[in-house]
Amino acid sequence: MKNRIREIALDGTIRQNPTFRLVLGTCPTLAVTTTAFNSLGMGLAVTFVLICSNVIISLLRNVIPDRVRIPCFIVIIATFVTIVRMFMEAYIPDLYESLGVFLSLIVVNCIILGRAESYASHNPVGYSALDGLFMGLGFTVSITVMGIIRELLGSASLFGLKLWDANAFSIPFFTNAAGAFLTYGLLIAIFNVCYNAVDRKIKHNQHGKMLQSVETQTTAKEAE
Amino acid sequence: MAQEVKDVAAETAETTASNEKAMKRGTVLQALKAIAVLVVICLVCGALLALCNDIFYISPEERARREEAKINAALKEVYPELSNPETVTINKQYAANAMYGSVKKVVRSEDGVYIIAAEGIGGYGGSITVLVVIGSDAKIINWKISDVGGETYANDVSKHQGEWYIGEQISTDIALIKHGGATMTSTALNNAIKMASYYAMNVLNLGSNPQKDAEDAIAALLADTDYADYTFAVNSDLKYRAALSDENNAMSYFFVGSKEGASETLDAYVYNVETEAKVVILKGNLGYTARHEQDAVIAKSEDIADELVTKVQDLNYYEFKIHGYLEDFRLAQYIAITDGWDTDDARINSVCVGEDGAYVVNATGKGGFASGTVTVNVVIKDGVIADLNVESHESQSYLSDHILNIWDTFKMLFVSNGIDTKFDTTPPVDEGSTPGHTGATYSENAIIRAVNYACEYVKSLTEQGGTN
Repeated sequence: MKNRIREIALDGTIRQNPTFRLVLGTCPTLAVTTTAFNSLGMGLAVTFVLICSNVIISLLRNVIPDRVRIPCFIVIIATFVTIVRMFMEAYIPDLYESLGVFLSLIVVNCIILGRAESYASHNPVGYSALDGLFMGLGFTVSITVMGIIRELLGSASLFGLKLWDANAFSIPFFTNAAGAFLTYGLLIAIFNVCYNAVDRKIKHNQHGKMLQSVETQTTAKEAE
Repeated sequence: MAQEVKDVAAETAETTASNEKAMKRGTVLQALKAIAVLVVICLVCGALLALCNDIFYISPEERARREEAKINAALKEVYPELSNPETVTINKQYAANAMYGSVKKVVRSEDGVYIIAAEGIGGYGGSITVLVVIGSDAKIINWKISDVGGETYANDVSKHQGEWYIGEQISTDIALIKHGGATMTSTALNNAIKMASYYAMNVLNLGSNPQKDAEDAIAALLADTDYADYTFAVNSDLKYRAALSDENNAMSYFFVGSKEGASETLDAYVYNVETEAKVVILKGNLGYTARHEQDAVIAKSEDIADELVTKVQDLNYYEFKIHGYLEDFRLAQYIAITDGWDTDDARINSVCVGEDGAYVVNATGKGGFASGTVTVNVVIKDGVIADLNVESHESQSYLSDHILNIWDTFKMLFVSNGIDTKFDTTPPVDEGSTPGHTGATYSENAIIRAVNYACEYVKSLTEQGGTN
């Protein structure tokens, strides 16, 4: 069980990172990452919806007929998105206005529907909740990193705090759509280069260990 | 054997039919179940949302308070010295302009500074809302984009806050500062500044405002009872009204005209002969969104206005002149005589025909010998000379001394005579004949010749059956 939780955590945050590995949810990734605060807000909203929808879908996985599963998933997801919208409008109006239409568009976010379809509808509640949590975390961290980079370079601030005079140094390009694409592309490249390097090293180590154990076994057999 | 085979076949067919029936029933049941589940999920979700809506309900008062707080924060940001902000009621007459945009909110600070939230039209349906701070000296203190609307490059333009337009006098002609790559947004900003200026000049009485001055001039002109006023049409779809005022010995007139069929509306045009000032005022929705189309409409309206001026300038000028001695004269037609009607003794310059059928003939008579000319206006009504007036004279030293001093008596020699009367010229002194009536024989002769020729001209017109 511990291993499974570890696998879910690694899948959600690194191996199947929705932003940098699966390239899902690109619309909010490009649109709302002008500031780190917006990115964090969007990430947390998506995480909440992911966890809640995964839990409910997992609970109802044996009840929902296969032929109406997608409409059911959408209704459930839309419900949680609406709840998030209502909550944000009531308690975090600034963030609500900043995210604008992209908050409502969480309904059609591929990550949420993808996880509902591929994971929550086939797995127990606990694991589905964890999958939602770690997928959401992976998404949140990814877009927050992107938001931090764009806000720093484009507006000379971080989470709304002015770090230096923007007129002295700032690259407004990064606050534009083209800057979002460039940042996103570079981060995907960096993430995958690092991931592949680590993955190769792990596999190399595993292969070495395997060879060593085979050699040990062979030596032991020969000694016998 | 054959019977057995038949039985088995019948049994198989029966089983198959039964299975098909069951399958169909099963499919229907499955569909019903799917629908039921979907409906139940929808109902539960709806109930949950209703509950959440109740929990997270935001009252209208709270919304209004938030909006107010947001606006105040933005106002404070754009004008940190803001104190005791007072929201000014918007004058709807000037709250929108088809070329620039609209005014959404006006706030007055205690120190007399106004902050106007103006929406400027950009391009392709986009617009931005800008808070424009205008000082009591009618200069722009600051601005800030508060709502980017449909313009995506507002951030690029916002960078120039505190730089562009600062310190400039408010005006609707304020020059556009173009920003490469964000042309529409910079146009929207320029229009927002113009809209704020337009409102400030018209409603808040800040800065000079030629359009308002012109409108005031029209109002004053209409309030003045001493003006000529008539309506006529240049062509079937272009109608206008003109008024004439001789206040301060300056002729000014305006047109209130419209070209039927829509958007090309010329509402008013003011022209003053002395100052040659003209202002075109365009109001109403022009029905165009693209700037170049609006410019085209304005240019066309100006052309129409110029055309109107050219057409009626002469008419008004002569009517104005005639008013000096014929107050209630209303000009119906002006005839400029460019060829013919020019002899060695006299010539006809022009004829003004009044609405009541009166003719005012401008004629020049020649005195004789080496003397100059006298130009008179002969008023002929119903075939009778109704009045006579000297407009100008040339090299007639005796005229002012002798004839003008006794003009009221002298002109009675002509008044009340029919146009068939042929007035005799007094024989010139140097030809050895008796002196004339006035002792200014050459001038007298010039006047008589002019009157005779005027009568002859009107007679010819009457014989032709009216004016040509």
